[in-house]
Amino acid sequence: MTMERNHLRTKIFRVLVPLLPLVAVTLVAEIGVRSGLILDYILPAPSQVFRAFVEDYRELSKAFLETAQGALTGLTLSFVVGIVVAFGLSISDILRRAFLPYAVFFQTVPVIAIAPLLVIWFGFGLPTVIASAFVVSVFPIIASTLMGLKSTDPALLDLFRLYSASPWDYLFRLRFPFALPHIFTGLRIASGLAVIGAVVGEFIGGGGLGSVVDVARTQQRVDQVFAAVLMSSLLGLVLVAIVNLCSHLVLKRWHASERS
Amino acid sequence: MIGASGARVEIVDVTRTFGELSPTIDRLNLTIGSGEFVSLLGPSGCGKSTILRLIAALDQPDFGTVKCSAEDNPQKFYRSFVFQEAQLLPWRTVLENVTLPLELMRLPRAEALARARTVLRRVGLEEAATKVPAELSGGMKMRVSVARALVSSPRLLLLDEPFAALDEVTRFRLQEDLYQLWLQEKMTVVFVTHSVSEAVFLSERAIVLSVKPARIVMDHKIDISRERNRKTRLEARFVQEVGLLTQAFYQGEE
Repeated sequence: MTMERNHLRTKIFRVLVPLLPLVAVTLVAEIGVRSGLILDYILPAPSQVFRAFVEDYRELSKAFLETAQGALTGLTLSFVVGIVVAFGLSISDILRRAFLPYAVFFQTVPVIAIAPLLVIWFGFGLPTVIASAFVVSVFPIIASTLMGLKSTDPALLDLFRLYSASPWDYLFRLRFPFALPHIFTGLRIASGLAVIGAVVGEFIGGGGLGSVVDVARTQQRVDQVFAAVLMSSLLGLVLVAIVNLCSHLVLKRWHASERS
Repeated sequence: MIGASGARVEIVDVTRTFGELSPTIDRLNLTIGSGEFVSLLGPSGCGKSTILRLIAALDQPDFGTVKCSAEDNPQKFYRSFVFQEAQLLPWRTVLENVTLPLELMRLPRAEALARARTVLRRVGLEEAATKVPAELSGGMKMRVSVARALVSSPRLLLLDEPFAALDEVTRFRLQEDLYQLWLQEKMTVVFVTHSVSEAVFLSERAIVLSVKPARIVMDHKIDISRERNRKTRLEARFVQEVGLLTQAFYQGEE
């Protein structure tokens, strides 16, 4: 009984502690704006942001779904392309040497700089948003999958060699399952980046939360900017939570990262 | 389940160097007869594991030849290897780990499962078939590893210090089980260890190697009863054999 009570207390403690800074910052902002110490066109009062949520609920939720569609499609595309590219690079040393430097280079190009190009190539709207989300989220998946595929235990490779395993066996019975924890790490990073990519794409290509932020900025609606930014963060958190859930379901029985 | 005779191993004038000036193995000659249980003993880094990998064809000699032949098993899958650590696939259950060699050999699934269940019964792990390695103790993991090696009906079983990381009680128990399995199967076994008493308990023949480059200091037939159990370790003859090999072991270190 005492143990159960202690467990409950620990759980409550774990939830409450991260909430304290949020409550403190919210209170300080609210008091600061109401007392005139902070100008509301610089930082809106949390109550103003809340009001923006309520008043612009329809517009914001429609934008949220548009951004979610762009980010999720871009992320799915990154996952498929990233895994296939990493498989290819892991099989052939020549392919790896030929293409990996370009993959690294591709990652260093700032998405905001190539977003106008994406509009030229894909036109206004969803295709540009998807392309932008894809561009920023594909590299972490390639890099982490490749690292996972290359870090297979040498003794296990010997075991497969002993039974003359085919390249297919090596890849699907050994290297791929071994790489799964790395793939989930890459996906976790990529899901946050996909939202950033989608919002940047929307700044140029239109639609979604990116467009809401852009229009609200021109109208000096800082409260609406904050509401849209918070919603894009929420989208990122939802995507990370989905990846975490998948990772837990797949790895919980055998990998240390999910067993604790 | 397993045929009558083990493989024969012939190592002729084998040299193996790993990017250094002095070779790890220099013109080694060794013949292991069909159905023998041979232990390779020697100090750390003397090349025992290298010899085992050469026999397993996981490595190739720079000079010389390593020939293994299993007369009653013309197919190429007659060698099995047990590593220093259990080396199980963590995402597979115990049963799936044991069926792995048969899957790679493209055996029908039903036959693979039946054979894996038989082997698991023999190593006393039938109950653990649906567990994953993370749910097993160190000793159980090593049993699974031995079961995986036995499931392909090997004519030649190669073991590289498989019990080194286990506690003494578990180690003794696994040694007794391995000895019984060998008595039943009569496959050829090459067992690498740096424990003299382990070599005496398990083998018919012990080969003591010197420090690098490995040369044979002593090739000795173990003269104790074939009836080996927990009392064997207390017998005067066992202690005498341990003493004899320990002396050769020290000689090899000089």
